[in-house]
This record gives sequence, structure tokens and C-alpha cells, in this order.
Amino acid sequence: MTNLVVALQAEARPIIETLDLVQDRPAGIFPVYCNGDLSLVVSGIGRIHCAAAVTHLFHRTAQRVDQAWLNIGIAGHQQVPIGSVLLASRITEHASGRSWYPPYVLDVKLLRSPLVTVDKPERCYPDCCAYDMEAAGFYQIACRCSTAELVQSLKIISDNPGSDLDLAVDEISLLIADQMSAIESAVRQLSDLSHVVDTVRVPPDLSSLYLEQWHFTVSQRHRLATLLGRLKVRSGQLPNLPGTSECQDARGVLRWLESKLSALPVNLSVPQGKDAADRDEQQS
Amino acid sequence: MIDTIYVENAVVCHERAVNMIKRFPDAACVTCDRYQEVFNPKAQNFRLQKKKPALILAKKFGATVLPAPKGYGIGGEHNYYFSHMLNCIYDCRYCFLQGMYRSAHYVVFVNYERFFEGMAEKVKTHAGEDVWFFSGYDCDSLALEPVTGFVRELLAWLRRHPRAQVELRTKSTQIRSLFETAPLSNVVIAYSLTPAQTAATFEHKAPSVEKRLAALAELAERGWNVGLRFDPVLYELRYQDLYQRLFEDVFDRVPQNSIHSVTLGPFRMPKSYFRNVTRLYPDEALFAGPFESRDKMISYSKDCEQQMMSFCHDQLLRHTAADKIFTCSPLSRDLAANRVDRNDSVGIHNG
Repeated sequence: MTNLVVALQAEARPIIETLDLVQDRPAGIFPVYCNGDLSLVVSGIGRIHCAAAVTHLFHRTAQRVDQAWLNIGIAGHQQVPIGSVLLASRITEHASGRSWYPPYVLDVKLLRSPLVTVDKPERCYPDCCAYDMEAAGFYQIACRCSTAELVQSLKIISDNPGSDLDLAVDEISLLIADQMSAIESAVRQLSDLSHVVDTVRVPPDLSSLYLEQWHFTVSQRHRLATLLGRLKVRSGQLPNLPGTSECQDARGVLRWLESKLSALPVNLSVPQGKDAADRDEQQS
Repeated sequence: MIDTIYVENAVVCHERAVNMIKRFPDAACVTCDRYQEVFNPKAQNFRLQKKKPALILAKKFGATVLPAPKGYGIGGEHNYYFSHMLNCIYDCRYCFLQGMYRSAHYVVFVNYERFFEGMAEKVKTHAGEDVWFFSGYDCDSLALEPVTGFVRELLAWLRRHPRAQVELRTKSTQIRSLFETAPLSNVVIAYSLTPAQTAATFEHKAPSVEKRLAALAELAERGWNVGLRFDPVLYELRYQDLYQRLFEDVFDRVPQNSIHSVTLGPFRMPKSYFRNVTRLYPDEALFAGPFESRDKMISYSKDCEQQMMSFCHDQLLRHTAADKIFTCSPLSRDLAANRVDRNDSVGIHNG
């Protein structure tokens, strides 16, 4: 599941069109658009709205942790030209002075810049940073729903010192539309990364057949899941279920599984290929 | 290699930080107040960060030199460790760092003088005696040397402090900086070694065992003391075969008179770290091995550990003197001591 959070309908429009998102009904307190594993929420302006929209989307969708979260929107910048796209390397909440550092693990070659979230439109651009009104609220709450590597903020520069801050709806949409390939690339990569974490976090259900046949206490269930997981990893497949005459109760099943596990030979090392000496080595 | 550098505001203008930043002109440079803001937050995934670890340049405060864990040593009475860097550029699946830290970023403390001052204090405390300092507990001592230049400065300091004995623990072949100076008798370059197949399976991004052996041989040839670290010893069906062959390869290549010490240690990891690591890699066969929980540590069963250590110890005795062999777990030390008592040989130095 990948979750996109934007402030304005004008920012959302090109994304909705390109990614074929459809509005989710019935409408809640924030408009949500979906297509398969992809969801988008339109938060409205400001960090409070944005934080609330993240919470709304989390509860509206699968409520699963460690999903990808991407905040997309326009921002001002002291120096970076209008129309450029960047990823936030540091997000600072101007009101509190607190900062967060989204870990960069994507392979997209995007400019990265510190981003300051302000409560009123920034007209002075005092530092060489991007300025927006949502990212700090987005990041604080999205990091409660997911691991920080999967929470990123992508901004398209809409104004510099001296520019007009009152952009027309179509102008905002055009800025986003022009960077859809970068947006799609970031979405794709975040989605791939979230699959890595998801596969790790949600192990395949190996226990159900056992739970149907025997009664397990909560701690026995944990032990069962651990033993089955270890058997699966070590042997690649699980043994056939024991007969009820062989194992009369859950304790017997656990003993039976432990004996299966200890009977497995431990073969860890892969045979050394001829290229082992030249394998991918980290350079400093 | 480095896409992001976080720099503490306090060291932005520090000469070493400036030089390190210059080495990565394409990296995004992000300032922060304290490195913990980046390194310590809860919502981080070590496995994902290992794909693109960042470099964090920081200033070390507080104690820099700490007492080594009980049982850690290679013959000295006073043992300490220090970490000028946190985390390692390699990705060894059995490493405890992935269970200890939330972040995979590399933290380098650029105020090296603090470490030298800390070591000098300990040397002063133990007047007239040798004091051992272990580097490479929380990082690889040499792997990032071309970037940090820490060892180069450490060697200059050690030349002036002959009672300070240092072990540099590594898997790296970055040994050029060592050759810029004459060998120091108070330095041991210690290589971690596992059978080639084990290394190929678990020591991701690390130089092959063959390359490490070549580096060891070159260091020995140039007069450096070297250490051999068979730690962790991992159990598998063919472990006897694998370790027997490894020992033969190593002692064929490394001349006896250069070997300062040999250490043996079974796989062991604090329970909480092991739980974190298995969460990161639930599909890793290594962690589904025949382990048990003892004294807040995850390790092999006593029988299994005893068998492995006995076998490896016996094999090592075929190649080197007993007084060069040290073991790294309480159980194994007792075993080794008992074996030596029985054999009436020179006492094993329990680390």
C-alpha cells in the first residue's frame, strides 16, 4: 500500500488523472482517491490539516503499519528554480524549531534540500531551503504509521524571492503535471521498498491447520509460529501434519515439531563459486 | 558510496569534517544539532538503511575509552575499548550491530584527540604497565580509513606511547596507510576470518577470505604483528571440515613469528539484539539454527559449543602455540583452561 498526501485539489488533479485514481465513497472528512494499492488524500493547507489527513487515510485504508507515505506539493525556495523537483533532506517545523531527517534510500536522482514548514506563506526566504506549509505535520504522524525510510516529502518549486505567490489553479496543476515522471518513479520505489518490509513483517500463515486440530494457548501459539517459521526457513517446506493419535494435545505438537527441527541437518554455507573472491565488495 | 552526509553544526568547520565532505562532492550535506537526532529515532529500519547508509560527522562528548567486556582480551590485564566510529560498511548477517542500533548510518566522531586523551588517561592510571585498547568493537577499524584517516593519527600517537597496546580489528584490505609508517610493536592488526563458504554466504560486501589472507601475509611480511580472529565460529554439519581447511590455509600463508594472538569465539548475541535481528531477517537460516537462551544471551547449546570449541582449539594447537590462543566466551574459556590443565601445557590466557 502506498499513500500519497497532497494539500490542494489543484496539486491532486494531475496525480489522480495519471494514476487513474477514483474517489472513495462515501466521502469522509477528507477526500480520498484510490486505485488498487495506491491511495491519495487531499488534506487542505497547513500542517495540522495534513497530520489529520494522514491519520484519516491510515484509518480509512488497511491500517497496516510500514506502508509507503509520500507527501507531494508545491513549495517556495530561496534559490532552486521554479519547476524543479526535490526531496526533503531535513524537515524543520518553524513554529517549534524541531527537525526530522527522512532517511534517503531511494535510487531516484533528485535534488535534495532542507525544507522548512511554516504556518504562513514565506515571503522572505531567509535560508537556502524550501518552504512549505505541510511537511512537518505529515512527517510526524506518518512516522507513527511507518518506518521513516518509507516516509518522504517531494516538493515542486513554485516560487522564489520576488515571485507571485498567488498562483492560479491551472498553474499549480501544470507544475505538478510536468514532474509526474519523477513522482511516479518515487512512488514505484517506495512501493517496492514497502513490499520488502511487508514481506518481513507479515510472515505467511503457517499455523492455521494446526490451530484447527488442536487447542493452543496464546503462548503456545507464539511458540508454534516460531517453530513453524524456523522449520520453513531451514527445510524450505513444512512436514505433513502429525496424526491426532501421534500428538494428543498442543504440547505434544510442539514437542513433535521440536524433534523435527532438531533432526534437520544444519547446512548454512553455499558452495563457493569461482567468483567468490571478486564478489561485490564495499568500497570506502 | 555516500549519498548523504549529516554534519553536526559544531563540526561543520572542523578540518577533518571538511576534508571528509570533500571526498563526496555529490552527496547531499545536511546539518543537524546532535547526531542522535538522526541516529536514534525509533521509526527506523536497519535493513532498509543498509541499502544506502549515510555518513554522520559528529563530536564525541563524555567518556571515550571504556572498560572492555569481562572476558575480552588477548593476554593483557587492563583492557579497554573505544569507538571512533559507530557501524560498519560491511553487512555481516551474524553481526550484533544490526540488533543494537536502530540506524545503519555510519557515525564518525571527528574529534580524535578526545580518544587519544582518554587512552592517555588510562595509561597514566596503570603506571608502569601495558594497557590494551581494542578498536573495532562497534565498527571495522580500517574499512573507512581512506575517508577518516583515524588510524594514521592513532599510529603517530602510539609511537609516543609504547605502553598503549592497540588491537585494530578488521576485515578490510585498506592497509596502505599502515605502510606509510614503520611497523609498531604495540599494534596488532587482527583479521576476522571464517571459512570461505561461510564468508560468501554471510559476510555481505566484505572482502573475500582470500583477499584478507593476502592482506595478512603482506602485513606480516612488512613486519607488523597480526592477529587471527576466528569469531564467531558458526555451527553447521560440515564445520569440522570447513574450519580444518581454513586453519590450514591461514597458517600456510601467515608466518608463525608474526602471529601475536589467535582468538576463538562461538556465535553469541544478547537476547534483545537477537530478537531485533530475527525481526529484520526472519527468512535467514542462520537465525533458525540450534540456539538456546542462556544468561540473557542467545548461543549454541552447551554441548554444541563445547564440541565446536574443543575441535577448533585442538586444530589450532596443531598450528600454533597454546599461549597464543585465547577464547571469547565464559564457557569456552573454562573448557580451554581445563583442556590445557589436562594436557599439562602452558596456560591458556583467558581473555
